[in-house]
Amino acid sequence: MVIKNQRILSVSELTAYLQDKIESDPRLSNLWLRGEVSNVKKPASGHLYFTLKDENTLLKCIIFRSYCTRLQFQLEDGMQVIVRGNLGIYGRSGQYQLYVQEVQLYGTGSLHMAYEQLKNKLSKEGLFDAIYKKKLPFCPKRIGIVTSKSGAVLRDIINVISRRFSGVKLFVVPVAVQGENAPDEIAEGIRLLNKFQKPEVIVVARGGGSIEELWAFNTEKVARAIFDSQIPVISAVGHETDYTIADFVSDLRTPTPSAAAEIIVPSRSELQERVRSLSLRLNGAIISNLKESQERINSSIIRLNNAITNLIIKKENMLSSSVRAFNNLNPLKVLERGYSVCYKEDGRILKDSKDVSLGDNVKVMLAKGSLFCYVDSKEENS
Amino acid sequence: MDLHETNLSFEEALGQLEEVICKLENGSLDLDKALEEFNKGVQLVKECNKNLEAAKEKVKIFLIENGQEIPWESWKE
Repeated sequence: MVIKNQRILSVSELTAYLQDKIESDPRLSNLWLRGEVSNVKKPASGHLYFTLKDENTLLKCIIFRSYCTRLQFQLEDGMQVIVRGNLGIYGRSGQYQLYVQEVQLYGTGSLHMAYEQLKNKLSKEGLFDAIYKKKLPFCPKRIGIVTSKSGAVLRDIINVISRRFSGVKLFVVPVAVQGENAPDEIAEGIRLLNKFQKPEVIVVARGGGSIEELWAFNTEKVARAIFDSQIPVISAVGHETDYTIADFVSDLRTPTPSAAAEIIVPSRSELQERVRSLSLRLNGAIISNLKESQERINSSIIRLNNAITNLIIKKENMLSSSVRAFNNLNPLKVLERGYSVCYKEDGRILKDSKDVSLGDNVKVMLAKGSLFCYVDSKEENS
Repeated sequence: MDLHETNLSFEEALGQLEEVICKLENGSLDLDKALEEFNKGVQLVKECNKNLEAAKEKVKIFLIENGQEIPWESWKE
């Protein structure tokens, strides 16, 4: 339909025209914009909606889900940000809006903000709690290392371990420790070791660097992988002054990779010394045990001796009194008192004069010596 | 299972050795029990020393790449 040579457009046609106009304007694509974030919404679709405003004006913004995952920090109302994106029109609501691809924090660094946000979030969830800290093995024979294959860090760790306690197996998962793939590779490395090699301890290590270079260790992926590890994880990232999220969630934070190696394995010479001193104590203990037993034996022997001696003395006394009694019964003793014994010729002792006849020979035994007599006469007493 | 993976870990052996010594130092054991503990202690010292001997072996390093364990000798380069 045409009115006075004027073409009449449908709403869609106008919108399409405007869309085309805007999208073809190079000044409206890939533009950088500064403002304050408000009205942040994240519905189930996964896209992020918010409004960017200054004192007088506001602009609808959307970040598609695929870009959301690349955000270094969570958008919050009131943040001053710089965004990059393309301006476009959303026909169904008749709104122009900015399709945001990148957000940076204006003022304080985005990374610092992201670090604080993640730290708070994980802390609230309890990932840093002491109750989840696993005990480190005393003397592991299998050690997993997740770090870069090149560079001094791995060499330092291997050198320190070789020097202290060399009889171990090291399983090195080479990963990128910075850059886009680093978080995934590090997290996957931890999972792989948990699944296959099952070392007794895992070290996640990287040398010193800027906050950007250490960033992988401040990501949620790495933090969760460390927390989910069934095997104790030691973090050894950066220098002494660098604290990463990985440090908070790991079972032990060490200030440097070499320090981690020192902690993982005991020193062989120190252990040797300990075994030697224990061995000496063991010997000392058994010797004093034996001494004690020896003393008990000695005192038993003395008591036994005494008992036997006493018994012998007692028996001797008994014997000598028996001997005395026996002596008193000895007929010779009677002879000493003046009695004598008279034997017939056949050796029988004479007790009655009737038993001899006149003219018999008899023997009279005295205390000393004997008499041989001839019976001349006899008296018979009744 | 490799040679220096014994039934008893070094830590366990050390712990048990200390226990044995404490029992002996307490001095309340019968002589035959004390000798039994002492023999156990001697075995544990042997076990510890065996572990320490194993510690003299060279570090064995494996690179985990593409799901494989590759012995890695050239880490110094």
